[in-house]
This record gives sequence, structure tokens and C-alpha cells, in this order.
Amino acid sequence: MFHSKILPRQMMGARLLPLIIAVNVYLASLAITGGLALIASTGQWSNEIEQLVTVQVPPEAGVSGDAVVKSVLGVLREHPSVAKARPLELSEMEALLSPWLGRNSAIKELPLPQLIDVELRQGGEIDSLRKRLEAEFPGVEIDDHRQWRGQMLALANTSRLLCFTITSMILLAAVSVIVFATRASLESQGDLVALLHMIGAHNRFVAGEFQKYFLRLGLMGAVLGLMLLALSLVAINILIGDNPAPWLMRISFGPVDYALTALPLLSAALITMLTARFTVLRTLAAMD
Amino acid sequence: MIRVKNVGLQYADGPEILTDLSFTLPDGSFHFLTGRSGAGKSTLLRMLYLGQRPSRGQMEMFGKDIGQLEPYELPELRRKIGVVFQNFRLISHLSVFENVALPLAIEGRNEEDYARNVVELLDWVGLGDKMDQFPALLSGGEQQQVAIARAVVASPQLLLADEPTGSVDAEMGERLLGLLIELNRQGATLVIATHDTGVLASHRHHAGELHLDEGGRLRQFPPVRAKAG
Repeated sequence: MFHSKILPRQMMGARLLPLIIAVNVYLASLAITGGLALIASTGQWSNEIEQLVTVQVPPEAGVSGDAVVKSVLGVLREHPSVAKARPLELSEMEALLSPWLGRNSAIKELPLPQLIDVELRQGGEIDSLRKRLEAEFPGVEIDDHRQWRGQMLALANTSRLLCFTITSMILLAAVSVIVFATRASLESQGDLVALLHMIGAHNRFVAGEFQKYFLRLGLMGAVLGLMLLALSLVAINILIGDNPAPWLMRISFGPVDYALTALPLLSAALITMLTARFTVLRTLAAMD
Repeated sequence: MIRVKNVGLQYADGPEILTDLSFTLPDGSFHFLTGRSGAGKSTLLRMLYLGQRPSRGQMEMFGKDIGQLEPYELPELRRKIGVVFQNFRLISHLSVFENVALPLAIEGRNEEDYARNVVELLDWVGLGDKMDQFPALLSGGEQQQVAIARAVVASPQLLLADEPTGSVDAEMGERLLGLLIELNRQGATLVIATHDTGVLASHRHHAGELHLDEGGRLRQFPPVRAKAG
């Protein structure tokens, strides 16, 4: 049966089609991967920061600073919203202030507030804690980083929107290029389509032959594009190393993320196949 | 039986290329289609192999009114028609065997079922030793033989040939014509478009003539009987 050979092995322009599809699938998948990584990292970062607060015990809060810090710690550790509370060591305070005061400064001589890092439980609420501390220890302050967090979240949301827009644009461009390239390849086969039509081939038979041919090309290109993406992601993870900067998280996805990243693969193969089918059917319909 | 009545053909809003055609082709008849270049012979053949439907009038083929058929009904009728195209229209990436078997393959038939018939047919047209070759390696006459074999492989009821002797020498032309006439004797209605006066003179005694004038009008003539004595 030479059924599978009715179409030539190489159509004019079709040799380039897998490459064009590969590049477009690579760009679209990379954009989706970037978007997903950004969403994952901002989400994780936001969750972490939401559960952290800093309590400041001013030096004039009591006669004996250490005693006040101990009392505040006692209140914090008993509170149901608090998971952990830990006073910062002097060395940690020095590290925090070193950009302004320099190393070996006389930090011990300065009237600095004592900072306490507090980690809230999941769903822990801060208002009752704030009220109790302010009532029992005048001058003690709780900083929940709300303003700073708000600004950072606004920036993250803008970045996500930008990423979504860029991804959509790349996908749109990919669709246009794939449709154009597929049609160009098909145009070179106008005589063959006409001959099959004239000797009595059903339109669905002719469309089916082209559909299979272009599905194979589409899958070849899409798989190539996804392999390039996998290589790029491995390279990125190697470059980031084990200790990424806080704003550059290692890319590690779940099944849903992998499915989303593979979306351009399926889309490209389907678009190529359907473009071939409908172009051939339209050509044949015009002949009747 | 093919009946054409008051048929006209035009493309878009252009003038009519074929005007008021009326003729009848009985089953098993043989006709030459003649006329000057540009008179519309290829266009009429195109209409007869259902590559183009008439713009007006009535055309009846194989008992069906062509104008009333839905597009999906046309392929079945086209399979009853064999066409030898002027430029052969062979598929360059298919072998001689595959080109000839193409009308059977598109019907979804298994190669085992038709391979013997195709081989016999190729032997009959004289290409039994070239069935694995590709069209580019064949001479013009051999390509025409492949085109004829492809046109007849599915035992068509109507056989149309557009200038089948136009690109071959006289000896090969006569041989090709002999093949077509043999198929006509086996029952196929045969229409050959030609402006080869030699061919016409040799065969007008058993073939009718459809003559297209320059205005796209057609006149039908019966076979020319040889004068007694």
C-alpha cells in the first residue's frame, strides 16, 4: 500500500516548517515558564513575608531593658498567633547596621531598640497581638512590613501582567507564523490537490492525507522546541546554583505547570494540522 | 449516455466561453472534439470530467442531473470518468506502478487486490518493464502511456483525452490512439480533443465530431460514411 506516499516526502517550504514551529514553541514555552516562575516566586515570597513581623522594644521602655524584652517575649510566645519569637543577637544587629555605621562600631554604646523576629502561625492574626503589646508595654512597636510588602506586591503584579501580555503576543505571533508557513507549503502542492480531486478522491480523503503529513511536521517542530526549552531550563538551574538570590528562585514545577509549559507543543501541532485541513478543504470546495 | 442541453459556461462576470451547447453522446460512442486553439476544447473537456459545472443549462451524465448534485456526490461520478490530460499530470514522486494505481488507491482499496490488474495493464500498454521507474526517466510517449493506463485502470464509462498525440511522433501517436480505440470497443464512451488533421482523416469513418467554433458554439457531426464504389 503506497497510501502514505501520495504526498511527497519533502514539500517546498515544508523542510523549514518544523524549525519555524520549534522556534515559536520554544519562545512561547519559555514565556510561559517565565510567567509561572514569577507567579510561583512572588507567591512564595509573599506568603513568607506575610507571616513575619518585627517587634521593637525601645531602650527607654523600662528601667531594665532585658527585663522588658523577656516580658515581651513571654507574651509573644504565649500568644496563639505566634509560632516563633526570637530576639536578635547583638552580632545580627551589627550586621544589619554595618552598611551605615561600619564594622567595629561602638554599637553597644548606642541606645538601640531591641528587635524581636516573630513568625506567625498559618492564618495567625496580628491585631490582637498588637493591642495587647501596646497596652502592656507602652512604646513597643510591631512592624508587619505592610507598606513595603504592598509596594513589592504591586510591582510583582505588574510584572505578572507584563509577562502574561508578552506570552499572549508570542503565542499570537507563533500562531500567525505557523498558519502562514503551513499555507505556503500547501500552495506548492496545488497541482497534486487538483489531480486527486479530478480523479475522484473525496475531499475528506485529500484533507486527511495533508492533515497527517502536517501533524507529523508540527509534532516534530514542537518536540524540538520543547527539548530546547528543557535544555535552557537545565542551564538556568545550573547557573543559579544551590544558593539563588532571594529574587531568583530555582525553577521547579508541579504537574500543572509542566502541562501549561507543554501547551504550545500541543497547540502548535494542532494548529498546523487544522490549518492544513481547512486550507485543503477550502481549496477543494472552490473547485466544486 | 451524456446529454447536454443549452449549456453555457462563464467565469465570474466574464463573457460566456461556451455558449448554448447541446449534444448527446450515446454509451460506447466515439467522438473527436475539434476546433481552433482557444475555441474552448479543454474547457469543454473540463466540464465533461466535472472539473467545472455549467453556469446554465442542463447536463445529464450517468443518469444524474449534474446541476442538482451536491459537491460530496461528485467524486463518485468522477470515478466513472477517465481523463488523459494534455500535460499528463503524472506525480513525479510516485513510480509508474503507483501513478497508474492511484485511482484505485484513493478508493481505499488494498494493493494486493489490484496489483495484478495494474501489472497486466502496464504490460498491455507496453510499460511492463518500467513499472518501478519514475516519470522523469520516461520519454514523452511513455509518459503518455502511463497517463492512458491511469485513465483506464478503474474501467471508466467515459474516457476523455486532451490532445493525446500532441507531444509524440506519428508512430507513437497511432499506437496511443489504438489503445484508446480498443477501450472504446470494450464499451467506454470516448471523446478525444485534437486538432491533428491526420488523426481526424484516419478515424472519422467510425468517430463522430464535436466542433467548437470561435464563439464557443458547438456543432455535432456523425461519423463520415465511406462513399460506395
